[in-house]
Amino acid sequence: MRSHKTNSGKAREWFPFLLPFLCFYVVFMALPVLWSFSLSFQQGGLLGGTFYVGFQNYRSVWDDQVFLTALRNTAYYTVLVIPTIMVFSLFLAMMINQMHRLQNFVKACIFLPLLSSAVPLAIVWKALFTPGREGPLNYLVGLIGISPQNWLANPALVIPSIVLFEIWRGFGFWTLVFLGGLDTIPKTLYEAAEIDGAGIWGRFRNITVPLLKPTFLFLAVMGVIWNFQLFDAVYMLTYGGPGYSSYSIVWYVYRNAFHFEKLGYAATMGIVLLVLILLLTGFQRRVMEGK
Amino acid sequence: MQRQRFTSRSRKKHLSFGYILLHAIPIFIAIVTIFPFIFMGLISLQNTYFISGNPTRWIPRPPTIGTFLHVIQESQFIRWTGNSLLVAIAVTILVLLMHSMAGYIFAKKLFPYRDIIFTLILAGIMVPRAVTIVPAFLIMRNLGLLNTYPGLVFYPLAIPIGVFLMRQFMYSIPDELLHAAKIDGCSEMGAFFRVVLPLSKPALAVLGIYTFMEQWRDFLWPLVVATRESMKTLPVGLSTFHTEFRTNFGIQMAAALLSVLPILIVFLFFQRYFIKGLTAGALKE
Repeated sequence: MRSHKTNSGKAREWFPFLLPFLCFYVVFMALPVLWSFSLSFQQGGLLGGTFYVGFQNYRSVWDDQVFLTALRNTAYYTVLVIPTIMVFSLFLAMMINQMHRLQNFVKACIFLPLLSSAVPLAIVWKALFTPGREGPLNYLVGLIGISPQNWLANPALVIPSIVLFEIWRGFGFWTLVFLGGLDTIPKTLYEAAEIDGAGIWGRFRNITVPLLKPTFLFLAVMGVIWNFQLFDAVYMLTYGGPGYSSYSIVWYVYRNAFHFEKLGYAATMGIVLLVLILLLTGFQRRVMEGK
Repeated sequence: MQRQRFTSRSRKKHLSFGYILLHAIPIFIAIVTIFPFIFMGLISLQNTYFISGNPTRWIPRPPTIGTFLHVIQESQFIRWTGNSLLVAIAVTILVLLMHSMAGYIFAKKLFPYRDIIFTLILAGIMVPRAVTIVPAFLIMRNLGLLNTYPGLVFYPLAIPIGVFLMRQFMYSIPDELLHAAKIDGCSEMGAFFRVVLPLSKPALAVLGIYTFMEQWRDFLWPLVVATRESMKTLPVGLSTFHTEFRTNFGIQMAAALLSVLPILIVFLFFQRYFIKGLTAGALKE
């Protein structure tokens, strides 16, 4: 597939094809990344302008308890979301794949949350999370004997509550991606294994998992990239509260840049986030491709 | 594939316990998933400051559409919907055009450092919005584009997923076709629009739906760049409206439902394309 003949023609003729995208890429991607890097060595805000302070932001970021809390929250959130959603979606996809009836009904239902931004969905969930005996979610857990919880105002429960919301909002996507992956596995492989006497577990371990490796890798890498950028749910459900209990990195960046007049500091944390994502996804790739 | 599924089915006994469970679990999950939407629909039909945990008490008696009228009259809801549609459609058209042109060049033309340049561009997928959003805001401010449509539209054009998808697809277009077009007297431009684009229709459809949905659902960038009431997109407008009417559950749910409704109707007609389009980013290698 990679062998192409020289179909280059005259660069003068085809370069204009590249130009429009390149312009937008340079102005709204490349330039902002470099600018952010430069801002990370400055202090000041949107109104008063900025000045250089050297490495000071990078030093103070590690002494900032709020940043460390935001970092911890984001990591905790990601660690809860990714394994849960991956296992859940994989098994759901395997079941949907075997269904003979109502397959499209199930697909349409799990797709519904993907149609909307987080905002209306969060409005609904905020009502479901209503504290006290009359909250719908409390009514539900009451049926199995759990006392009413203050889901979004209890520091210990607020991240798991956001996790619940985000899993509900996102698992449809993961399931559909797994379904796409399962579709690429030839059914004859399973039949051959069955004839050879492989059980369900053996077929799962020796056929499904190895052949889904590209799907796992894609979801694991993109899952980190997406979930490390947790913002919408925090903005809508908790505004970072109670206290700093649900501050995420992007939330704290947003607050610093647009509410606290600390552009440079926001940029520094953005760069730290970028480095973290690059390290983590690089590590994931190495581990999963090495296997 | 479909055929093989049928043959393997006929070997199994039909109403075994496993067979029922295999269907019951996904259907149960599906119903639980749409439950919040049902809740939203039922509560939106009543003007209420209280909700009950007991689902039997969600049935509106009597139902009212006053909540919906209130949302439309008391906010710029129609305007926000229009803004969202306009921005999403503009971004989609521009992405389809510009990203397919760029994807074509990276797929079919040879030039120095091509692969390095492409890898650099692709790295843009990994860059969190939190990094680019502050400088992009400053750039927009300097250009005088805050609270304008170009301000809303330009920023997402830089996200390179479309270039990647189109390049992957256009690899598979045979070079012979392009040569033939040249021999028949087509210019570069002509070959692209008469040969390459028509052959890329499936990829364009997928990319189009993907882009539209991403744009329709986007929150952070519009939140930052459009602060004037009349320039807000639907999610941003809804988020401020929500804080004003926090106490009336009926009005809140009506607003949420109204914001989901247009896309929901489109989805019911084009379900299959949506599922393909939204998982497009996963079509790797």
